[in-house]
Amino acid sequence: MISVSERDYITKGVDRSVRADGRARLDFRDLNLETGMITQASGSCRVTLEGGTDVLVGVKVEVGSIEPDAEAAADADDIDDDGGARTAGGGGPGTDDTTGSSGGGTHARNRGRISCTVACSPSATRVFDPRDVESMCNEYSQLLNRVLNSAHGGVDLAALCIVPGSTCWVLNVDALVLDYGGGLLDAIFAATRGALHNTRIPRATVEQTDGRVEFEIEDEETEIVAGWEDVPLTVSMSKIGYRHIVDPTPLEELCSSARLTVAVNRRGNLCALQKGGEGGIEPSLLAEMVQTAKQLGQTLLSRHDTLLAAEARRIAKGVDPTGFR
Amino acid sequence: MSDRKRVTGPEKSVAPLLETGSVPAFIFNPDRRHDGRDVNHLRPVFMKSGVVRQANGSAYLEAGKLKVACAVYGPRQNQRTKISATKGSLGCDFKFSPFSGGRRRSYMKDEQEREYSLVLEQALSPAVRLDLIPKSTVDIFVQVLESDGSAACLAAAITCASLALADAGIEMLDAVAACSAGYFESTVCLDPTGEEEAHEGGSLVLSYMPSLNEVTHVIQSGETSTATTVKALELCVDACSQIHAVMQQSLIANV
Repeated sequence: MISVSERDYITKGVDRSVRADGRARLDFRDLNLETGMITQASGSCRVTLEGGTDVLVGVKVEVGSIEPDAEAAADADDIDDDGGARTAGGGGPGTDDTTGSSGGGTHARNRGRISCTVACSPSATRVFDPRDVESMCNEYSQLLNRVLNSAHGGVDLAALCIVPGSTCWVLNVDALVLDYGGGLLDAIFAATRGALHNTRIPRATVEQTDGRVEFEIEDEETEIVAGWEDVPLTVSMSKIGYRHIVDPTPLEELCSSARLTVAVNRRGNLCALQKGGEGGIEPSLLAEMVQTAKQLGQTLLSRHDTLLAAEARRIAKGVDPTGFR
Repeated sequence: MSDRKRVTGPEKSVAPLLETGSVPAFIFNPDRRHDGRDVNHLRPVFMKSGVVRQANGSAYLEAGKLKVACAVYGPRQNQRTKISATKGSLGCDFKFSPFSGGRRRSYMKDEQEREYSLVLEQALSPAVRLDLIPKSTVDIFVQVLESDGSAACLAAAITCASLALADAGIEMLDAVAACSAGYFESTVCLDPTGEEEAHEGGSLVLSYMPSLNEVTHVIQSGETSTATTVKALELCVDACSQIHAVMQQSLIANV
């Protein structure tokens, strides 16, 4: 709920590129990031923004089976004949453990997959209507799923395959919103990229003995997630009046009629585009917003990389994370 | 899974796999696609309003194999108690029939259908004069009878729902027309079929109000350059105007 005068105040401010917290229209808030504070997870990252947004992403790596109805026709020519022997025994915990009712996603037969969910902690949802929260979480998880599982999502899905046609790694990316202070989707993507940077996958060695394919998992030796640096970040722009701003505060979000989220990767390409909210956008403004988002995305990515490099140095030095203290 | 009363089959089933080589390999030719169109052409589209007698408004849309039906009920009293009651709301329900695609779908709504319901709501809200119907809700039910490409389905659902809203006599600023496009490298191909969708690098769905010149929704997946996206946006805007003309014709025909 926002009063008419407050809405008017914010809209006029945005028109003059002055915002309540002193930022200009296209300024982001400072983003704090920390990785590896959840030791039980294969990778974790927490992103906090000054206004209160607090997102925690944990990655759990599991061995799963490649679904038999995976899009076989899509890459029928690059599957080699694996001799009919599909028995994958060996040391994998829970080999047939596919929790994935992954709605509508198509998985090729020699690829791993990523399954994403976004959940809102009850402590953060006080201000929202529970049903709105549910549909918002669903919208965000679908976007994450779509971006990460596509061929250009960054993570090298082929590297997640253990035995072609039967077993693969499943990366379960679970985002938890701990506190809400606007700009949620961008924070979720930043935290996801951080968590993937932090994720270590146990090494799997495949042995082939007379037609039987077996694999062993070594917990001691781990690998990084190949291609994490190509995972895109999103830039969400909110349209307020006739102008658009980035990284809105909750009050600004209430004034905005429409949101445009653009996912940008390191190569400067767009990986996803999604409109949200209940207003319209003129086609010319839409094209302009896409261009702006592309440029902003590049600065955001380089800033994110610097933060992650600092985190990697901290971990290399053996300094414990601050965590939730 | 959870619906044991109607479905007695095994919990998990898979569509039969075709032997490799039994299906001719897909080759994308921008000048001559499998159904004879080029990249800038939509499938011929048929629309009819007033197909469900019980509903306040309804519409049916067919484009190639794609068949979508939509019914609109309301405005009626809002079941949800919301604090803000200055505006009405749209309740959208998007459902694929179990037999609509290659894989059998369950009766329960899955994540994709829930997402499409939300997209539908976001795409139609800018057009409907919700300020005229405070404290009430308009329920929109979209049923996909046969699907041919999920992006095309979503676009057809938006178009069909907006036609049904017009048929129900609900005040709108403009009819919303939607259109999908697929990316094959840097080629933008309008209205991809299901077969083309399985081979494309990305897709875009755009909904647009031609008389107001306003985009009500856009959703894109796959990696593209900015220039390609901007080109696709322009193409879709033009295509939406064509669809809008068909919508107008079918509404006039029903008067």
